[in-house]
Amino acid sequence: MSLINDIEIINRVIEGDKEAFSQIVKKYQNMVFKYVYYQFNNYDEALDITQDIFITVMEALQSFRQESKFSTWLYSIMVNHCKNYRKKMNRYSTVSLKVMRGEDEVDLQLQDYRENPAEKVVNEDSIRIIKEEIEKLPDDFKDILTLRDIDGLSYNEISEILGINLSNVKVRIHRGREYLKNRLHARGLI
Amino acid sequence: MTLKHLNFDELSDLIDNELSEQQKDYCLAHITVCKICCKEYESLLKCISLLSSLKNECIAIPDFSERTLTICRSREKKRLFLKAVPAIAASVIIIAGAGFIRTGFFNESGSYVAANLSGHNETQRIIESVGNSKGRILKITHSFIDGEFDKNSLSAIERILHKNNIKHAVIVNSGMLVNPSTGKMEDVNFTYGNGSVSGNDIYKNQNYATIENGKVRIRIFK
Repeated sequence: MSLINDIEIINRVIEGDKEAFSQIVKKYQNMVFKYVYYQFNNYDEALDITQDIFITVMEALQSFRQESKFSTWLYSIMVNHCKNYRKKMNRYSTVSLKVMRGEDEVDLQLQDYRENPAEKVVNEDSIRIIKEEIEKLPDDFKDILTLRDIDGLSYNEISEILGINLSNVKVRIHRGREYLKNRLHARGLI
Repeated sequence: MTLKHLNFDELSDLIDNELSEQQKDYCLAHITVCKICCKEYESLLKCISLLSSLKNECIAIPDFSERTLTICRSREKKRLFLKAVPAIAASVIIIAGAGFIRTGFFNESGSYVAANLSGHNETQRIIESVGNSKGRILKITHSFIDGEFDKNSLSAIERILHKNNIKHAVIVNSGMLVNPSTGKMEDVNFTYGNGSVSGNDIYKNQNYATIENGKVRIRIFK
Protein backbone atom coordinates (compact mmCIF):
# COMPACT_ATOMS: atom_id res chain seq x y z
CA MET A 1 0.00 0.00 0.00
CA SER A 2 2.80 2.34 1.01
CA LEU A 3 4.74 1.47 -2.15
CA ILE A 4 1.73 2.18 -4.39
CA ASN A 5 1.11 5.48 -2.65
CA ASP A 6 4.72 6.57 -2.99
CA ILE A 7 4.76 5.75 -6.69
CA GLU A 8 1.45 7.49 -7.28
CA ILE A 9 2.77 10.61 -5.59
CA ILE A 10 6.05 10.46 -7.49
CA ASN A 11 4.22 10.15 -10.81
CA ARG A 12 2.17 13.18 -9.91
CA VAL A 13 5.33 15.15 -9.09
CA ILE A 14 6.97 14.09 -12.35
CA GLU A 15 3.84 15.14 -14.25
CA GLY A 16 4.20 18.63 -12.79
CA ASP A 17 2.30 18.60 -9.50
CA LYS A 18 5.31 19.70 -7.47
CA GLU A 19 3.18 20.35 -4.40
CA ALA A 20 2.59 16.61 -4.09
CA PHE A 21 6.22 16.20 -3.11
CA SER A 22 5.41 17.68 0.29
CA GLN A 23 3.62 14.41 1.12
CA ILE A 24 6.83 12.48 0.48
CA VAL A 25 8.81 14.90 2.61
CA LYS A 26 6.34 14.68 5.48
CA LYS A 27 6.34 10.90 5.32
CA TYR A 28 10.11 10.41 5.35
CA GLN A 29 11.52 13.48 7.09
CA ASN A 30 11.72 11.83 10.50
CA MET A 31 13.47 8.79 9.15
CA VAL A 32 15.98 10.84 7.14
CA PHE A 33 16.61 13.30 9.93
CA LYS A 34 17.28 10.59 12.50
CA TYR A 35 19.68 8.76 10.24
CA VAL A 36 21.61 11.99 9.61
CA TYR A 37 21.43 13.01 13.25
CA TYR A 38 22.99 9.74 14.45
CA GLN A 39 25.66 10.01 11.80
CA PHE A 40 26.81 13.45 12.87
CA ASN A 41 25.35 13.85 16.35
CA ASN A 42 24.71 17.52 15.64
CA TYR A 43 21.17 18.87 15.49
CA ASP A 44 21.80 21.92 13.28
CA GLU A 45 24.03 20.05 10.88
CA ALA A 46 21.42 17.30 10.64
CA LEU A 47 18.72 19.86 9.77
CA ASP A 48 20.78 21.31 6.93
CA ILE A 49 21.79 17.93 5.57
CA THR A 50 18.22 16.61 5.71
CA GLN A 51 17.07 19.66 3.78
CA ASP A 52 19.74 19.09 1.15
CA ILE A 53 18.80 15.42 0.85
CA PHE A 54 15.16 16.24 0.07
CA ILE A 55 16.22 18.83 -2.50
CA THR A 56 18.50 16.26 -4.12
CA VAL A 57 15.70 13.68 -4.10
CA MET A 58 13.20 16.05 -5.69
CA GLU A 59 15.62 17.10 -8.40
CA ALA A 60 16.61 13.51 -9.11
CA LEU A 61 13.07 12.15 -9.08
CA GLN A 62 13.02 11.81 -12.87
CA SER A 63 15.86 9.32 -12.60
CA PHE A 64 13.98 7.03 -10.19
CA ARG A 65 13.32 4.00 -12.39
CA GLN A 66 10.84 2.41 -9.98
CA GLU A 67 12.73 -0.88 -10.03
CA SER A 68 13.13 -0.82 -6.26
CA LYS A 69 11.06 0.57 -3.43
CA PHE A 70 11.11 4.34 -3.27
CA SER A 71 12.31 4.17 0.33
CA THR A 72 15.32 2.09 -0.73
CA TRP A 73 16.18 4.61 -3.42
CA LEU A 74 15.76 7.44 -0.91
CA TYR A 75 17.99 5.60 1.56
CA SER A 76 20.76 5.20 -1.01
CA ILE A 77 20.66 8.93 -1.81
CA MET A 78 20.69 9.67 1.92
CA VAL A 79 23.65 7.35 2.64
CA ASN A 80 25.67 8.72 -0.28
CA HIS A 81 24.87 12.29 0.67
CA CYS A 82 26.12 11.68 4.22
CA LYS A 83 29.27 9.99 2.91
CA ASN A 84 30.00 12.91 0.62
CA TYR A 85 29.31 15.39 3.39
CA ARG A 86 31.66 13.52 5.71
CA LYS A 87 34.38 13.55 3.05
CA LYS A 88 33.84 17.26 2.46
CA MET A 89 34.05 18.02 6.17
CA ASN A 90 37.22 15.95 6.52
CA ARG A 91 38.85 18.27 4.04
CA TYR A 92 38.40 21.22 6.37
CA SER A 93 40.43 21.45 9.52
CA THR A 94 38.47 21.88 12.73
CA VAL A 95 39.19 24.19 15.63
CA SER A 96 39.36 22.49 18.99
CA LEU A 97 37.01 23.96 21.57
CA LYS A 98 39.44 23.26 24.40
CA VAL A 99 40.95 25.69 26.87
CA MET A 100 43.86 25.35 29.24
CA ARG A 101 42.91 25.39 32.92
CA GLY A 102 46.13 25.26 34.89
CA GLU A 103 48.00 22.39 33.32
CA ASP A 104 44.85 20.58 32.22
CA GLU A 105 43.12 20.92 28.90
CA VAL A 106 39.36 21.01 29.36
CA ASP A 107 36.41 21.32 27.01
CA LEU A 108 35.18 24.83 26.46
CA GLN A 109 31.62 24.92 27.80
CA LEU A 110 29.31 26.62 25.36
CA GLN A 111 25.79 27.41 26.45
CA ASP A 112 23.21 25.75 24.19
CA TYR A 113 20.00 27.74 24.49
CA ARG A 114 18.06 25.36 22.26
CA GLU A 115 15.74 22.84 23.81
CA ASN A 116 17.61 19.56 24.02
CA PRO A 117 15.44 16.94 22.32
CA ALA A 118 17.16 14.13 24.18
CA GLU A 119 15.68 15.37 27.45
CA LYS A 120 12.45 13.75 26.43
CA VAL A 121 13.97 10.31 26.49
CA VAL A 122 13.64 8.31 29.71
CA ASN A 123 17.09 6.89 29.97
CA GLU A 124 19.14 9.96 29.29
CA ASP A 125 22.52 8.59 30.23
CA SER A 126 22.27 5.45 28.14
CA ILE A 127 21.09 7.45 25.15
CA ARG A 128 23.88 9.97 25.54
CA ILE A 129 26.53 7.27 25.79
CA ILE A 130 25.20 5.26 22.86
CA LYS A 131 25.06 8.40 20.71
CA GLU A 132 28.62 9.26 21.62
CA GLU A 133 29.75 5.78 20.78
CA ILE A 134 27.88 5.70 17.48
CA GLU A 135 29.59 8.93 16.54
CA LYS A 136 32.98 7.42 17.27
CA LEU A 137 32.34 4.33 15.16
CA PRO A 138 34.28 3.94 11.92
CA ASP A 139 32.11 5.20 9.04
CA ASP A 140 31.40 1.77 7.55
CA PHE A 141 30.13 0.45 10.89
CA LYS A 142 28.18 3.64 11.57
CA ASP A 143 26.30 3.36 8.24
CA ILE A 144 25.46 -0.26 8.58
CA LEU A 145 24.43 -0.27 12.24
CA THR A 146 22.19 2.76 11.74
CA LEU A 147 20.48 1.08 8.82
CA ARG A 148 20.19 -2.31 10.49
CA ASP A 149 19.68 -1.71 14.21
CA ILE A 150 18.13 1.76 14.29
CA ASP A 151 16.12 1.84 11.07
CA GLY A 152 15.51 -1.92 11.10
CA LEU A 153 16.21 -2.53 7.41
CA SER A 154 16.66 -6.07 6.07
CA TYR A 155 20.02 -7.40 4.90
CA ASN A 156 18.76 -7.29 1.30
CA GLU A 157 17.73 -3.66 1.54
CA ILE A 158 21.05 -2.72 3.10
CA SER A 159 22.88 -4.58 0.37
CA GLU A 160 20.95 -2.62 -2.26
CA ILE A 161 21.41 0.73 -0.53
CA LEU A 162 25.12 0.38 0.15
CA GLY A 163 25.83 -1.45 -3.10
CA ILE A 164 27.66 -4.33 -1.42
CA ASN A 165 26.88 -8.06 -1.47
CA LEU A 166 25.00 -9.89 1.28
CA SER A 167 28.03 -11.62 2.77
CA ASN A 168 29.76 -8.23 3.09
CA VAL A 169 26.67 -6.84 4.77
CA LYS A 170 26.76 -9.70 7.29
CA VAL A 171 30.45 -9.33 7.96
CA ARG A 172 30.15 -5.58 8.50
CA ILE A 173 27.20 -6.03 10.83
CA HIS A 174 29.12 -8.63 12.88
CA ARG A 175 32.24 -6.50 13.12
CA GLY A 176 30.30 -3.31 13.84
CA ARG A 177 28.25 -4.87 16.58
CA GLU A 178 31.31 -6.47 18.15
CA TYR A 179 33.14 -3.14 18.08
CA LEU A 180 30.19 -1.26 19.60
CA LYS A 181 29.50 -3.93 22.23
CA ASN A 182 33.11 -3.73 23.40
CA ARG A 183 32.91 0.06 23.55
CA LEU A 184 29.66 0.02 25.52
CA HIS A 185 31.12 -2.61 27.82
CA ALA A 186 34.13 -0.38 28.44
CA ARG A 187 31.77 2.50 29.29
CA GLY A 188 29.96 0.24 31.78
CA LEU A 189 26.69 0.35 29.91
CA ILE A 190 26.41 -3.38 29.30
CA MET B 1 26.17 -30.95 24.14
CA THR B 2 29.54 -29.68 22.95
CA LEU B 3 31.42 -27.24 25.15
CA LYS B 4 32.81 -25.30 22.23
CA HIS B 5 31.69 -21.71 22.77
CA LEU B 6 29.62 -19.86 20.20
CA ASN B 7 31.47 -17.22 18.26
CA PHE B 8 30.25 -13.64 17.94
CA ASP B 9 29.00 -14.11 14.36
CA GLU B 10 26.76 -16.97 15.43
CA LEU B 11 25.30 -14.91 18.25
CA SER B 12 24.69 -11.98 15.93
CA ASP B 13 23.08 -14.22 13.29
CA LEU B 14 20.96 -15.84 15.97
CA ILE B 15 19.52 -12.45 16.95
CA ASP B 16 18.90 -11.54 13.32
CA ASN B 17 17.36 -14.95 12.62
CA GLU B 18 19.94 -15.59 9.92
CA LEU B 19 20.73 -19.17 10.96
CA SER B 20 19.22 -22.38 9.63
CA GLU B 21 16.74 -24.15 11.91
CA GLN B 22 19.35 -26.72 12.85
CA GLN B 23 22.00 -24.13 13.71
CA LYS B 24 19.45 -22.10 15.59
CA ASP B 25 18.39 -25.05 17.74
CA TYR B 26 22.01 -25.85 18.43
CA CYS B 27 22.87 -22.28 19.48
CA LEU B 28 19.80 -21.90 21.70
CA ALA B 29 20.52 -25.23 23.38
CA HIS B 30 24.12 -24.16 23.95
CA ILE B 31 23.13 -20.82 25.45
CA THR B 32 20.87 -22.52 27.99
CA VAL B 33 23.76 -24.55 29.35
CA CYS B 34 26.76 -22.25 28.79
CA LYS B 35 26.86 -19.24 31.12
CA ILE B 36 29.68 -17.53 29.20
CA CYS B 37 27.83 -17.67 25.89
CA CYS B 38 24.58 -16.74 27.59
CA LYS B 39 26.20 -13.63 29.05
CA GLU B 40 27.66 -12.72 25.67
CA TYR B 41 24.28 -13.22 24.05
CA GLU B 42 22.54 -10.99 26.59
CA SER B 43 25.19 -8.26 26.23
CA LEU B 44 24.75 -8.26 22.51
CA LEU B 45 20.96 -8.19 22.84
CA LYS B 46 21.23 -5.18 25.14
CA CYS B 47 23.60 -3.43 22.78
CA ILE B 48 21.19 -3.93 19.89
CA SER B 49 18.15 -2.93 21.95
CA LEU B 50 19.94 0.28 22.99
CA LEU B 51 20.54 1.06 19.35
CA SER B 52 16.94 0.23 18.47
CA SER B 53 15.67 2.50 21.24
CA LEU B 54 17.03 5.45 19.27
CA LYS B 55 14.39 4.76 16.66
CA ASN B 56 11.73 5.84 19.12
CA GLU B 57 13.67 8.80 20.38
CA CYS B 58 11.52 11.88 20.10
CA ILE B 59 13.37 14.67 18.33
CA ALA B 60 11.55 17.84 17.43
CA ILE B 61 12.21 18.77 13.85
CA PRO B 62 10.66 21.45 11.64
CA ASP B 63 8.56 20.59 8.60
CA PHE B 64 10.93 20.39 5.66
CA SER B 65 8.24 20.19 2.97
CA GLU B 66 7.48 23.88 2.42
CA ARG B 67 11.13 24.93 2.45
CA THR B 68 12.12 22.09 0.11
CA LEU B 69 9.49 23.15 -2.42
CA THR B 70 10.49 26.82 -2.18
CA ILE B 71 14.19 26.06 -2.71
CA CYS B 72 13.45 23.67 -5.57
CA ARG B 73 11.24 26.24 -7.29
CA SER B 74 13.86 28.98 -7.12
CA ARG B 75 16.57 26.61 -8.32
CA GLU B 76 14.35 25.55 -11.22
CA LYS B 77 13.82 29.19 -12.21
CA LYS B 78 17.54 29.83 -12.08
CA ARG B 79 18.19 26.73 -14.18
CA LEU B 80 15.62 27.79 -16.78
CA PHE B 81 17.18 31.24 -16.98
CA LEU B 82 20.66 29.78 -17.46
CA LYS B 83 19.28 27.47 -20.16
CA ALA B 84 17.75 30.48 -21.94
CA VAL B 85 20.97 32.52 -21.94
CA PRO B 86 22.40 30.99 -25.17
CA ALA B 87 19.05 31.51 -26.94
CA ILE B 88 18.93 35.14 -25.80
CA ALA B 89 22.53 35.67 -26.95
CA ALA B 90 21.75 34.07 -30.32
CA SER B 91 18.68 36.32 -30.75
CA VAL B 92 20.74 39.43 -30.00
CA ILE B 93 23.37 38.38 -32.53
CA ILE B 94 20.71 37.67 -35.19
CA ILE B 95 18.93 40.99 -34.60
CA ALA B 96 22.21 42.91 -34.63
CA GLY B 97 23.30 41.06 -37.79
CA ALA B 98 20.00 41.85 -39.52
CA GLY B 99 20.42 45.47 -38.51
CA PHE B 100 23.89 45.65 -40.01
CA ILE B 101 22.70 44.10 -43.25
CA ARG B 102 19.78 46.53 -43.54
CA THR B 103 22.03 49.51 -42.91
CA GLY B 104 24.45 48.37 -45.60
CA PHE B 105 27.21 47.33 -43.29
CA PHE B 106 27.26 44.09 -45.27
CA ASN B 107 26.39 43.88 -48.97
CA GLU B 108 24.14 41.22 -50.45
CA SER B 109 26.94 38.77 -51.12
CA GLY B 110 28.00 39.04 -47.52
CA SER B 111 31.28 40.82 -48.11
CA TYR B 112 32.14 43.72 -45.95
CA VAL B 113 31.80 47.20 -47.42
CA ALA B 114 33.36 50.03 -45.59
CA ALA B 115 30.35 52.15 -44.76
CA ASN B 116 32.26 54.77 -42.97
CA LEU B 117 35.14 55.80 -45.11
CA SER B 118 35.93 59.08 -43.47
CA GLY B 119 39.56 59.59 -42.60
CA HIS B 120 40.78 58.23 -45.94
CA ASN B 121 41.61 60.31 -48.92
CA GLU B 122 39.14 60.07 -51.77
CA THR B 123 41.16 57.76 -54.02
CA GLN B 124 41.81 55.41 -51.14
CA ARG B 125 38.15 55.41 -50.23
CA ILE B 126 37.09 54.53 -53.76
CA ILE B 127 39.73 51.81 -54.13
CA GLU B 128 38.76 50.33 -50.81
CA SER B 129 35.08 50.38 -51.69
CA VAL B 130 35.77 48.61 -54.98
CA GLY B 131 38.03 46.03 -53.34
CA ASN B 132 35.69 45.33 -50.49
CA SER B 133 32.79 44.86 -52.86
CA LYS B 134 34.71 42.08 -54.63
CA GLY B 135 35.14 44.37 -57.59
CA ARG B 136 38.25 44.92 -59.61
CA ILE B 137 39.81 48.16 -60.71
CA LEU B 138 40.25 48.53 -64.44
CA LYS B 139 41.71 51.97 -64.76
CA ILE B 140 42.82 54.84 -62.56
CA THR B 141 43.29 58.37 -63.88
CA HIS B 142 43.62 61.73 -62.18
CA SER B 143 39.87 62.32 -62.54
CA PHE B 144 38.17 58.93 -62.34
CA ILE B 145 38.49 55.25 -61.55
CA ASP B 146 36.83 52.52 -63.58
CA GLY B 147 35.74 49.47 -61.66
CA GLU B 148 34.03 46.18 -62.55
CA PHE B 149 31.57 44.50 -60.20
CA ASP B 150 29.08 41.68 -59.98
CA LYS B 151 25.64 42.85 -61.05
CA ASN B 152 24.39 41.46 -57.74
CA SER B 153 26.49 43.90 -55.77
CA LEU B 154 25.59 46.91 -57.93
CA SER B 155 22.91 48.22 -55.60
CA ALA B 156 25.19 47.84 -52.58
CA ILE B 157 28.15 49.66 -54.14
CA GLU B 158 25.83 52.40 -55.43
CA ARG B 159 24.39 52.82 -51.97
CA ILE B 160 27.89 53.22 -50.54
CA LEU B 161 28.89 55.69 -53.23
CA HIS B 162 25.72 57.72 -52.68
CA LYS B 163 26.26 57.69 -48.99
CA ASN B 164 29.79 59.03 -49.41
CA ASN B 165 28.67 61.57 -52.04
CA ILE B 166 30.98 60.09 -54.64
CA LYS B 167 29.90 60.83 -58.19
CA HIS B 168 29.72 57.82 -60.43
CA ALA B 169 28.06 56.49 -63.58
CA VAL B 170 27.28 53.01 -64.86
CA ILE B 171 28.91 52.22 -68.19
CA VAL B 172 26.53 50.61 -70.63
CA ASN B 173 27.67 47.76 -72.87
CA SER B 174 28.24 50.06 -75.85
CA GLY B 175 30.93 51.87 -73.87
CA MET B 176 28.83 55.00 -73.25
CA LEU B 177 27.96 56.72 -69.98
CA VAL B 178 26.23 59.82 -68.76
CA ASN B 179 28.76 62.13 -67.12
CA PRO B 180 27.10 63.24 -63.89
CA SER B 181 29.02 66.56 -63.88
CA THR B 182 28.12 67.65 -67.37
CA GLY B 183 24.97 65.57 -67.89
CA LYS B 184 26.25 64.70 -71.36
CA MET B 185 26.67 61.30 -72.96
CA GLU B 186 30.38 60.33 -73.26
CA ASP B 187 32.17 57.63 -75.12
CA VAL B 188 34.38 55.64 -72.83
CA ASN B 189 37.67 54.83 -74.42
CA PHE B 190 38.62 51.40 -73.18
CA THR B 191 42.35 51.39 -73.76
CA TYR B 192 45.29 50.62 -71.51
CA GLY B 193 47.14 53.80 -70.75
CA ASN B 194 48.93 55.34 -73.76
CA GLY B 195 51.19 52.46 -74.81
CA SER B 196 51.14 50.71 -78.17
CA VAL B 197 48.93 47.71 -78.62
CA SER B 198 50.59 44.40 -79.35
CA GLY B 199 48.93 41.19 -80.56
CA ASN B 200 48.36 40.02 -77.06
CA ASP B 201 47.19 43.46 -76.04
CA ILE B 202 44.59 43.47 -78.78
CA TYR B 203 43.09 40.37 -77.28
CA LYS B 204 43.25 41.95 -73.82
CA ASN B 205 41.80 45.17 -75.13
CA GLN B 206 38.88 43.43 -76.80
CA ASN B 207 38.31 41.41 -73.68
CA TYR B 208 38.40 44.56 -71.64
CA ALA B 209 36.01 46.41 -73.92
CA THR B 210 33.44 43.65 -73.80
CA ILE B 211 31.56 43.57 -70.53
CA GLU B 212 31.09 40.00 -69.39
CA ASN B 213 27.68 38.60 -68.52
CA GLY B 214 26.78 39.20 -64.88
CA LYS B 215 29.29 42.06 -64.60
CA VAL B 216 28.79 45.75 -64.57
CA ARG B 217 31.26 48.57 -64.87
CA ILE B 218 31.12 51.83 -63.04
CA ARG B 219 33.15 54.97 -63.54
CA ILE B 220 33.76 56.61 -60.23
CA PHE B 221 34.70 60.27 -60.41
CA LYS B 222 37.12 61.80 -57.96
